[in-house]
This record gives sequence, structure tokens and C-alpha cells, in this order.
Amino acid sequence: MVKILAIESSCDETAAAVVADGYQLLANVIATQIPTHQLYGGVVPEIASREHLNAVVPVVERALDEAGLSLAQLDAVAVTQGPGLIGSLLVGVSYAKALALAAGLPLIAVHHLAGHMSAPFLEHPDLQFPYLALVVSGSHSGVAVAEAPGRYRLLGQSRDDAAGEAFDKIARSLGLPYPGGPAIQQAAAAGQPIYEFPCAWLEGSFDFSFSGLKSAVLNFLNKRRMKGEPFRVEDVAASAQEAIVKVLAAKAVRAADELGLDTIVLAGGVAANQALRSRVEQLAPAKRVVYPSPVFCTDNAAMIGAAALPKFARGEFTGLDLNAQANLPLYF
Amino acid sequence: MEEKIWRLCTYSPAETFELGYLLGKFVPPGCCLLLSGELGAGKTMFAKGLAFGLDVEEHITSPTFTVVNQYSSGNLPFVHMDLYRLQSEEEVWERGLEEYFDGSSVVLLEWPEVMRGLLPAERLEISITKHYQEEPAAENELGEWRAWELRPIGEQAWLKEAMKHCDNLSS
Repeated sequence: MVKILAIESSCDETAAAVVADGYQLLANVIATQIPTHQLYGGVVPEIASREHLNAVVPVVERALDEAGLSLAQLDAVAVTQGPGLIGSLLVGVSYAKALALAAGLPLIAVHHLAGHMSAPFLEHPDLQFPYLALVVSGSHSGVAVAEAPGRYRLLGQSRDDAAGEAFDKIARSLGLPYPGGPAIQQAAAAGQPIYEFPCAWLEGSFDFSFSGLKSAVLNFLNKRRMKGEPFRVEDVAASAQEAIVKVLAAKAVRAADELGLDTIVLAGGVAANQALRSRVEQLAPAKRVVYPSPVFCTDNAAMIGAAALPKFARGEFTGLDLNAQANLPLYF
Repeated sequence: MEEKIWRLCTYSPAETFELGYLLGKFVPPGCCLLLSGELGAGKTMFAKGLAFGLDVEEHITSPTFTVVNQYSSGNLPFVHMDLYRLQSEEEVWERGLEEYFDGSSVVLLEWPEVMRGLLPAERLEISITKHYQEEPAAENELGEWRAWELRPIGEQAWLKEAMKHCDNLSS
């Protein structure tokens, strides 16, 4: 049985997982799950620390512990190469290289978005290529076609603010808590989409733009507050959510239709949004719509392991000269 | 040293873009530009203009979540940084953000307050204030305009050159 240790450190989360053949998850650890005193051995350093650097060793050890495996029992080490914050990526990449060298294991480089697009396999190993993937998170809004394992083609992406960011910023302007996605969803459930906020359709393209929507909501709130006109936060939340979900769902379904794809995968943190899921299902009743559990929607290493499995099968390994790349393009 | 503060106004996103574009044409390597202004003030539009002036080919997307976006297709390496999500200088340090002030890149820094203690000694501080007209014209229903303040800290000779081209924007 193939067993791959996967490491993800592209943004805020330091995470490690062990994934085996057939997308079996043997361990899945995220640093924020581990109490601080365990990470630092009881001593919280007084001098500011480089978070990933402190977390990566205990997180990997915990993952191996949970899987009940030693380094020698692994078949490969996989790591997120990019895109992301270069300093954060470097920690994961350097540690993965060191582990691979020390244990004599092959190294597999994974694109962060390929990871998100592979996350559904962890719960739906029967998922078939090709499929359409809508990847929506705090930093990405993209439509891509997954043609075969490891072969992805980006059809469109965010031109300014990502969908998750629009949720966060609109939530903040409404006095709702962070993260904004769940907060807006909850408020929207008690409201009606009675306001028409602008949707940037960017006709003829699968790109997205949510900056205009953010400004429109802010202007709406400013005007109402200046004129002392009342409004219900719940209705604004419902209207903003409607404007975001409408465009995301329509573009994903149109892309799937145009390319003749029967399956749509929703991935990334915003895939946890109920309204998005139901809208896609409603627009594409004949298609299979697949989305991961919330724990696999947000950044995690299990998805990196899932993306690495087919690469292992094809022997697509990388040398120890692997470099982290902050703006790694999605190759196909 | 005499501190000259430049003040001007923009009345549309296109003018905000143009201001960014002009600064992008003249900004030297290693320059750090701080950009302050509320949500919706036009920071992203300014960033897009600046990048266009630097001949960056890629779409400029928001760095709020990623904190840093880097672009290498232009005349100079362009680093677009956004500290909106960060709460403390410790979080800045954890990400090694002060290392981006390497003297070769143009760094545009949004929501810079949390990084006050780690900024380069020479920089350009830009602030945007959003205003609403008392009686907005019908075709511009929101009747907004922006007041800009450009405050050079240390020698920023290039700014004077750039400002010569900003006549149509100056108030």
C-alpha cells in the first residue's frame, strides 16, 4: 500500500497528513488544532516567532503518530510548492526536502489549487475525470477543468477580490464576525435578497470580479446611514450573498455545459456555503455536484496528499532542488 | 528637511488609476509606498494603475488573504502587500514581511499601521479620504470624490517629476 506524507504551509495553516492508496486518510493534522503549549514544549517564546517554523516539526510528528508510521514506512513526501506566501511556502518545502533526503524518499511537488480540486476524492474516491472545478476561497476564485489526474486547465479567475474576501469585507462592514462566509450565510437565512447589488458578469469570460460588489454594498450602507434610513442587516447579507452566489454558480454551470462535463466539484472555503451548493444543484439538476466536508474545504494537507497519489502512480517526482514559488501558475 | 506634502483629488476610478499609473512610471527600485484609506476608497484601483505604470502584465488581484502578491513581469519587481488581516507586529514578523524591503522591488503596502515599527526609513505615505458631494449630479448618483495626500519621508526626488504630470489631477 502506497503511503504519502503531505505537508501544506502556503498561507496561515501549517498542516500535515498521511494519505494511502484509494484516498484513505491515515492522519490529518493542522497546527491550530494543537494547543500552544504542546507546540512550544510548555514555553511560549517571548521573542516573536516564525509560526510555520515552530509548527512544522510537531505537526509532522503528530501526523506520523496518528498514522502509526515511521518515516521509513512511507513511500513518498509531498509538499505544496505554491502559490502562496514565499516565506511560508519555504518552510514546508525545505522541511519536505530534508525529510525526503534523510529518509531516502521520493519528493512530490503539488500545486495548492490542484490540492483543493483533489480534496473531494478523500470522501468520494469514485469521482471520475474529467470534471469541472469551481475553487472559491479567501484568496482564489477560479473555474478550472480537471482533465485527468494532474492535468488541470484554468478557464477563469478573480480579477480583483476573491469571493471569500468579498464575504469577509462585507461581513465586517455589517458588523458581523470573521470569517465572513459563515456569518453572512447565517444572517442571510433570516433575511430576503430585496436589494439589487451589481453582479460583474464579465461576459464572454470565466473570470470573476467582486470588488465592485464590495464597493456597492459599502456605498449602500454609507448612504443609508447618512440619511438615517433604516435597513435590516439580514436583508443586506442575503442580497450580497445572492449577488456572489449567482455569478459563481452560473459561471461554473455554463463552463460545465460548454465543455460537456457531467460533474461539478466545489472546492475551497466558500464551497461550504449552502446557498452556493443549492444554486449549482438547481442550475444543473442533471449533473453530479460534489463538495468536500468543511474540514477539507479550508486549507489542509490531506488534499495535498490526495493530489500527490496520482503523481506517485505516474512516477512524477521532483529533485531536491525544488523551489517554492509564490505565484506558481496552474499547469496542465 | 523640508517636508513637502502633495495634495490632489480624483473624481472617478479612471482618475485614481491614472494617478497610480503616473507614479508607476517614475517610481525607482526599492521604493516603498504606504497606502491608507477605508474600504472602497480606491486602493485596489490605485494598485492596478501603479502596476500598469510598471508594465506588469498580470491581473492585480487583492492580496488581503495572501498578505503578499509578487509580480515579476514588469520593469521592476512589484510587491503588493496588504496587512488588513494582521493584528500585531508579531504576525508581520512571523511572515517575514520586512524582508520584502530589499532595495530592488517596488513595494506597495496597504493597511500599513500594524507594521509601523518595521518600515524603511525612506518611503512615500499616501492617504485617501472619501468624500460625498452635497448634491450629487444625476449621472453620478453616488457623488463621490477622493482627496489624496502624498507625504514623502526622506529624499523622494522622483515624486517631484511624477507630480509635474499630475496637473490635471491637482486641486
